[in-house]
Amino acid sequence: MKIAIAQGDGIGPEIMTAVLSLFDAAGVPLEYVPVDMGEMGI
Amino acid sequence: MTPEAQQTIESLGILFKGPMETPKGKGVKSVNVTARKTWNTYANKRVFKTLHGVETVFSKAGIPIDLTIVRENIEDTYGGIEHMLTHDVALSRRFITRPGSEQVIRYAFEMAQKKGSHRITCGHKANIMKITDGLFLEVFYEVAKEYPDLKADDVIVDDLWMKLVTRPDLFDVVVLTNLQGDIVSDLCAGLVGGLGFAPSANIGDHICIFEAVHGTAPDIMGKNIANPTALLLSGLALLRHVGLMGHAARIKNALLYTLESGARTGDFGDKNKPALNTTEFIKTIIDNLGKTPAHGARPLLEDKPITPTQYKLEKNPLIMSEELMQEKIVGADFFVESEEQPQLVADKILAGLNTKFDLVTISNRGTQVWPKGSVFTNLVNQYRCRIESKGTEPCSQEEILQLYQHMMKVFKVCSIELLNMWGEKKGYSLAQGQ
Repeated sequence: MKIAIAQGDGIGPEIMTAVLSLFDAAGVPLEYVPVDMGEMGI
Repeated sequence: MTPEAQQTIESLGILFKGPMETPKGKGVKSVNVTARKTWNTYANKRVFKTLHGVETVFSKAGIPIDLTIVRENIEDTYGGIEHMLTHDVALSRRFITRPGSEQVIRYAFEMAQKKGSHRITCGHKANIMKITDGLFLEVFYEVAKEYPDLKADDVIVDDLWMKLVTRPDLFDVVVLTNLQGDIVSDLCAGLVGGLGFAPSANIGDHICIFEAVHGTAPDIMGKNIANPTALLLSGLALLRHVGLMGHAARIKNALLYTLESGARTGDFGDKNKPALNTTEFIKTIIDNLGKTPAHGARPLLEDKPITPTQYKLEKNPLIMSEELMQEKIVGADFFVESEEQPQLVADKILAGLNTKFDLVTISNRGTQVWPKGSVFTNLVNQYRCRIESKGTEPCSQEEILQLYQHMMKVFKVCSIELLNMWGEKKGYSLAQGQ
């Protein structure tokens, strides 16, 4: 299953990367599709 | 948001989102608000739970917290429909609809039942807002009938907030309208240690958004020291939402174990222990996968099958309830500008008023000032004049228009609202003191 990922602004990318690395380590069977939604994407 | 981003999210149906900057310039709406409005995520669910290792006033007192706040996410004053009626008087419109209330309340009951809650409470201010919050409360008890195993009750918001800060353990699931829910959500985040520990999910029929509600903390950006817990908790809600119950429980247990062990990022916990950076904190949780915390361990449920669905709506869905009673118009409230005393306003209206109608009451800021009132009531330059048909006989829109023409000869009419009845039920409130 695929889900959309918006990393966000500021600390967003760091904490998102951290959380997804934990999901990967736990073997969560999801695929991530990055979307451009933050400050730069408005 | 780019069109590609919108298309991707709409076809996948699930968005996992980090914190976003809210633009403060005029005319630019925040991504968060746009997302809620565009995709109709009508329910905002936030779970506030005691985490061992995160010290709060309540954890020190040994009072465990496990609260779920469900907030209506579209309606209320958040439509932002506001007008200046005179240069002194602003008016905001507050929308509460039957189908909108039903969506969020039904979601709350379903969710409460699934997680085995013992109590579901409606927070409201129906003692003052008898029509709007009255409707929300009415729908709450209508839906409650379908869930006889859940204890459903209601509390007036001011009382609810006092009780939440003194005995938060008395509550389980609380459902509220938008503004009241907005305020109480952050209050509850404070009870469990702040927004860094508060996950959030915006739920709609087609698209769901899981996000951290804290800010973007630009001052520590790029330093690898931010606390990822709120985003992680939101991610776990996402996993449960798509049926990955086992994975969610395993990670949750590892997180709880990690917090119990005293591992922390710089923003919380025992300051005598060294703070971990974001990467180290996550690495610790990874190392603790498979371990069971002493408090609040999650049962390792089996994953449910995932059925991804592609959503493509051809037209707007109309949400509407059945009209059970005959509707009739029985008059109108005219909002007029005037700097004169109430009796003079009344005299002007009564002179030449169609004999089918009565001038029933005149109020100023909601308080009746005619036919009876108090000289101590301060006046602003805008009155609400209620004109009703005698014996609440039905009248036509044309007759209301004639009334308007009568009123506009003597006043600037700022706004007008029809007085509707359904059967014997009035679709309007009485003035204070009427």
